[in-house]
Amino acid sequence: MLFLDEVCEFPRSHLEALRQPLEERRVAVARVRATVVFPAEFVLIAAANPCPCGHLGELSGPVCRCPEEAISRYQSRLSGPMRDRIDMMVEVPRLGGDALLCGSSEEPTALVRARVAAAQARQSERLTTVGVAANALLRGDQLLDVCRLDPGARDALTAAGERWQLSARAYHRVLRVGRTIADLAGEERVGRGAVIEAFQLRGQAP
Amino acid sequence: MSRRLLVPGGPGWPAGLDDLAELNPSLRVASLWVEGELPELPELPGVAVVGARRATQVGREVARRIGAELGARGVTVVSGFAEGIDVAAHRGCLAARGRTLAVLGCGLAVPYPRAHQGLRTELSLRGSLVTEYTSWDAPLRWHFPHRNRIIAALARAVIVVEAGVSSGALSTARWAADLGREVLAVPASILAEGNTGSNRLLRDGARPYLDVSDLADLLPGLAAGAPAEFSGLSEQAQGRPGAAAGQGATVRLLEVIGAEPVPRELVAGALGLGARDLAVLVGEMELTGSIRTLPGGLVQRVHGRGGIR
Repeated sequence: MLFLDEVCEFPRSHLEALRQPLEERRVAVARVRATVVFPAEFVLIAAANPCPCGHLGELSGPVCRCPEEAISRYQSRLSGPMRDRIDMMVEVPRLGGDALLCGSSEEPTALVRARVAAAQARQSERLTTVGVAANALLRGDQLLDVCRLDPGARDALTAAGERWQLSARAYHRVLRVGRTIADLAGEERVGRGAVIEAFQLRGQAP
Repeated sequence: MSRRLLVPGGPGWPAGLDDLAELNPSLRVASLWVEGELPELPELPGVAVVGARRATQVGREVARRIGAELGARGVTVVSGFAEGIDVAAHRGCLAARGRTLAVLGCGLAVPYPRAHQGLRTELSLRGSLVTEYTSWDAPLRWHFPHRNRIIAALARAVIVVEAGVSSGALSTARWAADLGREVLAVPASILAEGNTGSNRLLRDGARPYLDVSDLADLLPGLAAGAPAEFSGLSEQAQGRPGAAAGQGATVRLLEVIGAEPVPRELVAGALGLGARDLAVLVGEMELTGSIRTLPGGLVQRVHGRGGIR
């Protein structure tokens, strides 16, 4: 697990160096005499503010007055190819003081954990024939078999591909996330809802 | 790039500027540099759209929209080419293929503000830039309030969008009032300090601006002219099935979302939907182009034909 807090504050060159390990799950160090390959299997989690002042999109409290140019400059520190490799982007709104004090009405993590474990079990059972351990490790050519897309899901993929000009990488990533969403819900086939939700999580729409 | 110098009484001189000298001889504009093509400058029914530099996203969206509404109806949008509201108004107008006029606080050779040179090029090609300063005059701080008198003089009306108590847009509004131009302000939330200036204008008797019909009596022919086919901003919306094609939850979602962006959580609460169902619903509607999502987890309606997103 690699957690990068304030990811937009990292030098761009450092972030770009993550592209290879994110895609290939290995790091190749090339020197004059030899090239050494290290395994680099990890889950990247990153956090960032939406703009330099951190208030963009908030409707109450301090208002964001960053110039548009500063916002786009800030957000572009995470390059397009890097974004393309990130499966899920979730906006986390600021919690008000009362929400913090009243305690949480959310699901307890023990419950979530049980659901995740069940989904993992379903995954690994299905994937034994393919020979990988998790949806995230599926190759592009294995995906369509494993996903068992509903016709509706297929339509949604086609429509989204046309609308947002998706890369092949984006397709594959959406399929992996969609498969996992279906697994969490205990669904055998990947339905339209799972695909659409995967797109939403990707933050695909411009 | 052709630059021309206009002088009082000479060809192309905007008659509106003479009102300044009448008000007070010291306010007289001695000459005006013009870049770009804007035929018959004196005849243009201009409306100024001005506001804060440090504008919010909502303010910019409002300015873009007003710029587009006016531009699409052949009304020249006058503004100050400053960061924030001004730039958004120019952009909206250009996107609607309208004519727009930027009054600068510096000479025409000075690339200011640096961040908007792309827009500047577009302005000189499809609108025009005017200034009373000579080529290399720097954008000095005191130029801007002074420049505001020209914005007011070149317009029939001034619309103030999102101005704080110390915003320069208020000086434009004052010039407008002194010159007998109509002053309008866009009503906005009283919670945000950035709106205090424009809201006070309303309290002091400015006319509220809700849409172009508020200008109907000032700009005869505005209502008569067919609302031009608006094609600029809604490119993404073209060639898609009608937004009203959905039913049930889709329709209810559209009812909940107004013109202003709303946080998703509010929508989920209003519709009684869980996060997952909402994600699917929003995703479906984004796919058809009837809504879009904005930074900060906001969702907004995209209006269809004849409207402005």
